[in-house]
Amino acid sequence: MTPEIRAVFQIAGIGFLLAILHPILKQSGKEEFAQWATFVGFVAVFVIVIGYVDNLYGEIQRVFLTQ
Amino acid sequence: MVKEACDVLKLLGAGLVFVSFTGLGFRIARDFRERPRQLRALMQSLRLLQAEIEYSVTPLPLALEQVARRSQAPMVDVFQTASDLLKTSDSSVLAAFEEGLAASKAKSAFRAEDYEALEEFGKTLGMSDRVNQSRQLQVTLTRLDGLEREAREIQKRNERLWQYLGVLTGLLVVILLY
Repeated sequence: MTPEIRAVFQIAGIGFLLAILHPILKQSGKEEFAQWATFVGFVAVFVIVIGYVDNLYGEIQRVFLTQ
Repeated sequence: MVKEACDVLKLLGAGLVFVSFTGLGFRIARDFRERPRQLRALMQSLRLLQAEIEYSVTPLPLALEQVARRSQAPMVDVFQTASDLLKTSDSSVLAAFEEGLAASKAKSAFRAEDYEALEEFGKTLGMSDRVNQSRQLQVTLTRLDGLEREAREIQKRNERLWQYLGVLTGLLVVILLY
């Protein structure tokens, strides 16, 4: 499995887990925890994605702006 | 060859992380489940003590021993330790009872407010005559009844939650690290 595919699955997995976690937390009356959990998941996914976006911009610069 | 070994090791580590998070979640959930049960057992023990005091008029060390013999897991320690201390040393009833409470702390799922009610009760133990003692026991029982109802409410909201939380957190960490 290439790292890129792995990242896709990772993000999907985080999405799944948070989708399960949110209603469970909400049901037991811990709304703010539910929101925090979603927020933390969001940040985690962002951290993963930022690395790839950085890569992408580096690549674009290398291809188009080297001359 | 080396890569395969690495994969196996990684899988093993992921399994360990998952199992420990799940275990932690279930451990916390168990405390929520145990507290109402232990409170009920405690009330049962106190009723036994009330019967010992009121009808058989047993001296306190013996009464405590009788109760210890017939009560369940965490409360055995309280009454047994208190009874032993009262028999072997000349400590006060309050000191012996508090020693007993401290001995049960590691094993019980009681919270601070439960212990507070018990300590309050310990202060009245052996301080007055039979009728007053019985009345104090009744007051403590009523208070514990309220605590037990509240504990059941808390259990309903939290037990499942912590089980799910343990499993899901384990999965999340495994996914993030894998």
